[in-house]
This record gives sequence, C-alpha cells and structure tokens, in this order.
Amino acid sequence: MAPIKFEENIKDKLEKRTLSPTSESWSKLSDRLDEDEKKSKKPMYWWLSIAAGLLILMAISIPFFNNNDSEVIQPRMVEEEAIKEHIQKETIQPEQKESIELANEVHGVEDKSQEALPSVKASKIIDYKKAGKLNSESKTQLAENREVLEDPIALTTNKKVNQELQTEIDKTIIKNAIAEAMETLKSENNSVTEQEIDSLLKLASKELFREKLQKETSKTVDATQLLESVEDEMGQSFRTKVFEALKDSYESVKTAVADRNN
Amino acid sequence: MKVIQLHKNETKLIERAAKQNREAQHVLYELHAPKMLSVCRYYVKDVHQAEEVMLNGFFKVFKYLKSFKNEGSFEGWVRRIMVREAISYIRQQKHIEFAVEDDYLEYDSSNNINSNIEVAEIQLLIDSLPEGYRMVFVMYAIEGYKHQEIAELLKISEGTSKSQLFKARQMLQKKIKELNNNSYGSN
Repeated sequence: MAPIKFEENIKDKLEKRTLSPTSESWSKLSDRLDEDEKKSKKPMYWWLSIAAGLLILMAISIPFFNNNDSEVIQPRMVEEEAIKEHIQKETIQPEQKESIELANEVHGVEDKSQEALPSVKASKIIDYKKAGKLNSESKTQLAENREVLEDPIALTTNKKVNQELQTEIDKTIIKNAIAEAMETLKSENNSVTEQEIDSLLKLASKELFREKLQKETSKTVDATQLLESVEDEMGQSFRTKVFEALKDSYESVKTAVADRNN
Repeated sequence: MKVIQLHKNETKLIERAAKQNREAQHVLYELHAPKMLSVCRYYVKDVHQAEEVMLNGFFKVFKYLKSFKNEGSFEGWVRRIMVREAISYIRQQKHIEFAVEDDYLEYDSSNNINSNIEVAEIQLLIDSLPEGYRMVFVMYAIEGYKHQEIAELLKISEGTSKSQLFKARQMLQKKIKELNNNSYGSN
C-alpha cells in the first residue's frame, strides 16, 4: 500500500502545480492559428474560381446554344415538310370526297353553301380517323355514310322535299359521322400512344392554321410563313428556357458567395 | 451557483473559440495553459520543449474544437490531447526504451517515505527515471490511465506496462531513500 499512498501524495502535489508559459507563447499560437486559417481558406478560393469558370463557360456557351437552336430546328423542318406533304395529301382527299358529295348535289340539292361547310367538317373527322390509322371497320363506316348520303338524295328526287328538310337531313348525317368518328376514336384510344395523340394534335392545329391561311389568302398556302411561325415559336421557348436556367444558377452562385462572405 | 455560471461561461467560450474567435481562444488558453504546461512537463524534461509540446497541443485543441461535444470536461479533453502530444514528441525525439532489467531491486514495504517532499523534488525524481518508466508511471499514477490504455497509447503490451510501473516504483523508492539519507546526513 505504501507506493499507492506515496503516489497519491505526489499526485496531489503535482496536480496543484501550475507552470506559467512564456509571455510570447500566445502570440506564437495565434500566429500559427492565423496561418492555418489562411491555408484552410485556400480551397474555398479554389472552389470560388471553379464556380466563376463555370459561369464564364456558361456565358460563352449561350451563342452556341443559339446556334444549336437552328440546328435543332433543321430536323424539325424535315418534319414540317413531312407534315406539309401530309397536308397536301389531305387537300386532295377532301376534294375526292367532295366530288362524291357533289355528285349527290346534282340530284337536286340546291343549298350548296349550307352543305359545303358541314361536308368539310365531316371529311375532316374522317381525315383524323385516317391519321389515327384507320382500320377496316372505319372503312365500312364510310361506306355506310355514303349509303346514308344516298338515302336523302332518293328522297329529294322522288318526293321533292324542300330545302329545310334537306339541311336537317344533312345535319343528322354530320351528327352521325361525328358520333361514329368519336366511337372509333374511343375504341382506338387504348392503342393510341401519347406520341400519336401529340402528332394528331399537331396535325389538327396545322390544318386549322392552313384553313385560316386558305381563307385569308384565297386558298393559297404560304409555306414559308407557316414554317417561320413555327420556328419562331420553338426558338423562343428554347431561348427563354436557357436564359431562365442561367438566371437561376447565377442567383444561386451569387447567394452562395454572399453567404460565404458573411 | 458560481460553478454553474463558470461552466456556462466556458461552454459559451468554447462555442466562440470553435468558430475561430481569437479572443475566446485567448481566454481559454490563459485559463488552461499553466495546468497543461505542468502536465507536459511530467513527460518532457526541458520546460521550453514542454511549452512547445503544449502549444502544439493547443493548436490541435483549437483546430478540432468543433469535435468536442461537451460530453466530458473540457479540461479532461485538452489534457488527453496534451498527453498524446507529449508521447508523440518523445517518440519523435528518440526511440523509447522500455528497459527490462533483471537485477530486481528489493521491494521496500516500510512506510518511511517522506511525504513532505517538495514538488520540485518530485519532478526531479520523475525526471531521473528512464523514459519508459517515467511515461508509464506518470500515466498510471498521476493521469490515472489504466494499463490497457497505456498499452494502447504507447503501443506496448499490458504486461510491459505493468512491469515498467513496478520498476519505476522500485526506482523511485530507492531514490527517495537516497534523498532522505542525504538530507539526514547533511543534518
């Protein structure tokens, strides 16, 4: 037990002992701490410079993005051409149908102006059906349509019903056609993908625009105007997207730098 | 109440010092440096070198202060850093010899050790011990480390730690005896 007692004794004595360090010891330590802080801050500057470099790179890449803009549109132009071709085909198709309808008109349908618009509408719906990959079912439906069309003609020739009756019948035909088209569209909906829907919507908007143009410029399509308008739309949206992204990243970097300085 | 307030103040000081506030660091340094220099002096014979070791220790304390979670006492944490710093300093200076001497000194169980021995004399006695003896003795008898911890810190076996302590005690007893004899002789 003796050594433990002795140890306790010397422990107590040593524990009470204090040795005052030299007066310059603190300044030495604080200098070392300052130096270390500077060193540890260096990596921050590196990060800052990397961030600045990225910012510059982004700024430089803006014109490239703009250039890419036109490049990106080029393949789209091919698409537009395809659509144009499609439109051209469509322009022929309604004519064919109109010729059938015109043949019907010979039988005594005088209200040509009244019939012209709905018939175009009907043909349009049929067109959509075609764009949505018309199957054999729809073809038979077309045949039925023709039959239905022929029925009122027979009525007009035989009983000589007045114009009002004729228009009413026309309306019912159009309604039937629309209903049938809707049904076929609904039945096809399951197999229709989003892309197809998009393409159909595009086609519809194109056709509307074309019709508008046709009406405005006496049934002539200004292809360049059409393409330009589409180009402008797409280009603007892409540019605004890029600018928005740049603005956001710049703001985040700015706040990060401000926070770091604080 | 005073103790609690002091503790609160120290916690605030530590928080500020962890954020590299030099003023707070200076206050903490002034509070603990005299004690820590004494601790370093147990291991390092030269007081100037002991101060260097202490400064290295404080540098680490302030650098890694964020990792101090207020779980134990701050002084204990700083002290452990100082001990490690002292050990690594001695290692750098020279290879520590954990001497294994066969000539076992006779174990003196008589309780004639002078308890009125002065602190300076105790330090001189400790200084006179071989490196290995001294480190194990200081760590065990003064710092309160267990043999397992000593073995880990000094990278030795527990058995070596125990034998080093035993021999250190024997040597110290012998030296105190000599000291006592000399003092009696002089009287």
